[in-house]
Amino acid sequence: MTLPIPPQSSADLWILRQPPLGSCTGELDLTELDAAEQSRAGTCRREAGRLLYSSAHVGLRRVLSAYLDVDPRSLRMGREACPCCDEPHGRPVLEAPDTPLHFSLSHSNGMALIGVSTVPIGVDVEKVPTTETVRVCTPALHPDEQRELAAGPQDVVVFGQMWTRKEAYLKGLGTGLGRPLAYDYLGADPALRPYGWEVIDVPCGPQHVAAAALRGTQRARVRVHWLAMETLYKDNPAPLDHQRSLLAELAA
Amino acid sequence: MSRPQEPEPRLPPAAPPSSGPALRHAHPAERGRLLEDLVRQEIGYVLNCPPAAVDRHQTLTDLGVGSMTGLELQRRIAAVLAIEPELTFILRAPDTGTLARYLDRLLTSSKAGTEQRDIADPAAK
Repeated sequence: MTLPIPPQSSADLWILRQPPLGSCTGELDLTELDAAEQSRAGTCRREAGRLLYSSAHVGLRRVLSAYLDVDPRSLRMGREACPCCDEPHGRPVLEAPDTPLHFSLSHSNGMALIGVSTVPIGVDVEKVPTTETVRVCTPALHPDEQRELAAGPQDVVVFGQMWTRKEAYLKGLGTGLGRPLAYDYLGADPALRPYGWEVIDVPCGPQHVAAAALRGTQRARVRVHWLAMETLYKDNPAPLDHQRSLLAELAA
Repeated sequence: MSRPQEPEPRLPPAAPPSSGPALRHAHPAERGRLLEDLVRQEIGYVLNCPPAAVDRHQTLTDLGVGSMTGLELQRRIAAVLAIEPELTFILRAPDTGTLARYLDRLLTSSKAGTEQRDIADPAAK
């Protein structure tokens, strides 16, 4: 089934929840991955990590190929040059087929998030941090973010949500965490955030925080979809249905 | 919205603050081993698992070090060794030994490190 390309200033987000180990009802076809992805999947010794990596990348290829109406194996992924150092570890891009689609992928502790748009996009999903992680990491943030956190109640979710906005934005920019975390404000006030980007918090359950950043100045909208594990299996996969998988529509 | 806080059992802090000077004086071979031990202790700390469970042959990402825990690890190593490792190096480290060798280079190329090594080991000149 072909998915409709997201309209201007909008994105589709696909959330994948990894099933508990041993409860998968089907098998992934790792030959859908390219050599680099297969190698990465193979070197991960922890079974849970290997399954999350494999399902996130099989999912990314299945989703992109459904928008483009091509075989997942025909997609060629590459990296843009990093805006900081010109090395080839900038934003991931589709090198083939020729397409206006941009995408971003993130995975953390049992959950993966895929973003697809016609504008540059960054997404991030993280496990909710511990209070100790928050304590140690806070001094590295933008001064206004630190002030904002200090003024509110100590809340690991508030910190985690701010962090995912920042990382989604930095992934959209293409620098990733190579750009100092203190440079940009991604706090609670949208008016003070970087110009030219729209950033949206994405609810994804009690254990994770997530966000998406889209390039543009028009009010961005995202549709959040459920990427069921059953759509990724090798044999008789469930169809990727744009309507039946819809969880929520969000606006910046 | 506030949510119930899970209890957070933590292992005791892995290394005493600022063991940088002591490590700089150590013999290079010994220093490499001590640094890898330190790396595994600190990874165990941020991931809340015993250092012995930290596989030496996995990427830090595959061990479970994410961006936030990566920054926590970077800040802790910076405090213990008085050096400033790059967060991106930590997140892309292919294994604990590579990270330890990177820290070793930072440790011995810092100005204080060079002076102390010169005093401790004249043959190194």
